[in-house]
Amino acid sequence: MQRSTAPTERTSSRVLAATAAAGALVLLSACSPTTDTSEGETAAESAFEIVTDTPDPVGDIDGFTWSLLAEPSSLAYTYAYDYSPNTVLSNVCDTLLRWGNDLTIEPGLATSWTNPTPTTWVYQLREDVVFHDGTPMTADDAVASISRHLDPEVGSFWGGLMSSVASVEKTGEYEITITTTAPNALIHEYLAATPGTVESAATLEELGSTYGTPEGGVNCSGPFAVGEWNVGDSIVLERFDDYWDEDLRAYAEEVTFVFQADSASRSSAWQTGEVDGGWQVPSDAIANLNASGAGAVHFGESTAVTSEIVNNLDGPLGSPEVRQALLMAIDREGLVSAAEYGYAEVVDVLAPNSVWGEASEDALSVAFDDINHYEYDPKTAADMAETAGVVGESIVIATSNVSSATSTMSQAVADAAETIGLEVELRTIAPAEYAQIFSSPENREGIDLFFTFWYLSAGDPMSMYIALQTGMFPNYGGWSNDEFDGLVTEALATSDPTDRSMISAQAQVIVNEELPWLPLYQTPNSVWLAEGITGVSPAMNYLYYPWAATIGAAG
Amino acid sequence: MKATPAAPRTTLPWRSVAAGLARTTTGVLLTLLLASFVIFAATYAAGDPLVVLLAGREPAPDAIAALTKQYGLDQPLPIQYLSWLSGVLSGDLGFSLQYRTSVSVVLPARIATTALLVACGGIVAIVIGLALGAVAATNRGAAVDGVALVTFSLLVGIPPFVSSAVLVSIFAVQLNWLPSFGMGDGGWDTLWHLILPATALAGTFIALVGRISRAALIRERAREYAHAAVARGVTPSRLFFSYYLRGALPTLLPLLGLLVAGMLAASTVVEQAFGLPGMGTMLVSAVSVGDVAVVQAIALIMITTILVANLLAGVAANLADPKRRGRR
Repeated sequence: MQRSTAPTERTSSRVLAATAAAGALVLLSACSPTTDTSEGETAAESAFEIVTDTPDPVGDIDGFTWSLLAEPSSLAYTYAYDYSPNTVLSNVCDTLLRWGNDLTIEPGLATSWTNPTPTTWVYQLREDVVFHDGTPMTADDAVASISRHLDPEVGSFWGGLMSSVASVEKTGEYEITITTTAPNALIHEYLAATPGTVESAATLEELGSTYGTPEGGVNCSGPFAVGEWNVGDSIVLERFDDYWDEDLRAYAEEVTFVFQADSASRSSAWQTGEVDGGWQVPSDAIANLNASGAGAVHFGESTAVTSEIVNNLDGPLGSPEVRQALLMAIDREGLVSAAEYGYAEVVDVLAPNSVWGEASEDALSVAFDDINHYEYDPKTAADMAETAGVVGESIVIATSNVSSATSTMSQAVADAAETIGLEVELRTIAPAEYAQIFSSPENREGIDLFFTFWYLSAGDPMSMYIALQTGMFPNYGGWSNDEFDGLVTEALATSDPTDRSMISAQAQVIVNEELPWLPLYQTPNSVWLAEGITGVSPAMNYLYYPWAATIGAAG
Repeated sequence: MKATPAAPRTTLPWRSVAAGLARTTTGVLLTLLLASFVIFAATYAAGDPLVVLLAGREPAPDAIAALTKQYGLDQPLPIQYLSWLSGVLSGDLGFSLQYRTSVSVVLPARIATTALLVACGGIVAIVIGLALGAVAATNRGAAVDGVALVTFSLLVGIPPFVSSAVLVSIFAVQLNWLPSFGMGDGGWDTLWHLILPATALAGTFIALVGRISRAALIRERAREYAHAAVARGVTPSRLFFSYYLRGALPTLLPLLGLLVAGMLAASTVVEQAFGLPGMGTMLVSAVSVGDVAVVQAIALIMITTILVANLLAGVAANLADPKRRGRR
């Protein structure tokens, strides 16, 4: 699981437009918000479609330029825990497994795997992989790479998620075995994300603390190698001609990433053609971008859900009935229109549809049909709050001006809380300070609710719900439910994802009933492609999949 | 024929100038020392560097202990300050928690970008501001003077983020004449890319230079030496440059210090708006993630630049002021 510490760009990003690409696109779902926006935009204008692909390229291109939300602080995979570094690194470093365009697991550097005991995972590695310096990949490289997440002195940002790994051992020339301290099927899932990165062990040893910095660079096996890192300006990737996967040989000889923190600057550069593409298109720019004729915005599957986290379960929000009342008092359809210009969907769960790709029909039925749907009903909500005896009590809602959406969202939640009779203090916090709310209980003391843009790094609902198990670090409010804890433990011990999905569904029902976090809406993943380039899937797997290799010349 | 009385020629009392310069420099150094402590203490108190190092993720106790020791965070504030100060004096600006490398590696390119932007913005502000001020002063009370004054009022009221957005919208997106983003490929291309940012940065300062130069030039035009020069038939261009402008220099030169200070501050916004990789962009990023060493280094560089610019501007103004020098 992952969260955004820089929600500014994340919010405004996954919003996007309606341009259904050609008939080759596979339509997965269509969403047509029905509420007018605050600007008077009509529902039809706000419609968007989620697709799995854009049209195939017709040939190679010299290169393209791509917007990054920020300059990566490091290209070391151990510190790649946010959008910008992973957007680059997914094209440079391969992982043991791959996160496919449908957000399910595919073979990567590992061709096959077994799970001989609940705590043991064995991976067979490819034998034809070479790093960018021409040296061959072996099991030693995989062991050295994954073991770095366990080294306290490295301080890997993925260390918490990988903490249940007891050992990573070479058990053959091209075979490694990962042993966990307790059954944890998610470890396997995370190997399709950054934790599964394999870097040259010799490079790690040689570069030491300069590994991943502008001075040291990286030496992986992806379809692109890092050519230049012009600090503060750009990162240039060059096609790696000895890439092992012929299906993902890059169409482009070169990719130039430029750093554009300002969303207006990104939109302008896309319209003028100075930059060819970028992920996470600001919602307020979609209409102008699509009208410009300079390209098109495409929408794909996302794992992110915007929520309000209940931090204080000893206050008025301690009762599930009050939390339900608060959610029912929020006009979420209106919020989607006002904050995201209609480019989002109201959801009642924290693990959205996109991460249930391997679920059984029965599990899907439980997870999405056997749950409460919290329709906007302020009258009933006010009655529920009165029955619970919380009218007149006070809560503090933390907000931060990290995007145009956040202030709208926080105000809507504050209005809803007042609607059910609570006294509300809306506490505005500087963005840097807001990021620290997530780091320790002291930093969020006195706060009852705070927002998050939470996205999942694995296509499995349990990657969300493990965060809410008793005692887990991201269980910020300290919510606890014995039945739920038992289900999570059982799910982690179930290696088959389809079998696991029914357990996850039961966990989802509990969370939907108890609402330790209040789910608000889900925004689609979005990408801008200039006229002349095509081929990429707009799905959120771009964070861990070599997406840039798929972009070539449009017909 | 009489000798021209105007152009105030003087000799320099070098000893007095040197003593004054030494006093001012000492004051600047003491101010810098105080500023360095304030900067360090403020950033020290602003947050826990471990939050940056661990990016707010679940910290294992042994990881916290290892990183605390590794970065010297277990030392008391005065020790950390002295260590930082001695590093700065020897050219080591510290270790960037965000970039995980020396600040000296990531900062120089940013300084060059900001310096170029401020220089271009300064030239635009001085040239256009002075030209408008001169036209207004020459035509005092006429319609063109009124237009200039209204223009100054408008420019003062437009903050850089607004002027940036307007300029991009018109000249990049609508007309497609100028680039909206980045520094280009060097040389003329970089200057081409800096036209819009420098103009956006200069807006407020055009008004500042224009207003003050108008007032100073009006004052100089009213002086006795100016009337005498006009009566002698001195050419208009010589009148302007050798008499009016020269006489106005003691008023105008201190503006350079203000320009540098103001433009450095405004460059943060303009760099963001045009995607320029300068110190301002880096400062915003460093503040947002709590990259203490980068914030300290940029704050110190900015304060040093402002102090030195004001020092030099003050010295230049003194040298140009006949009242502070002995007339021949």
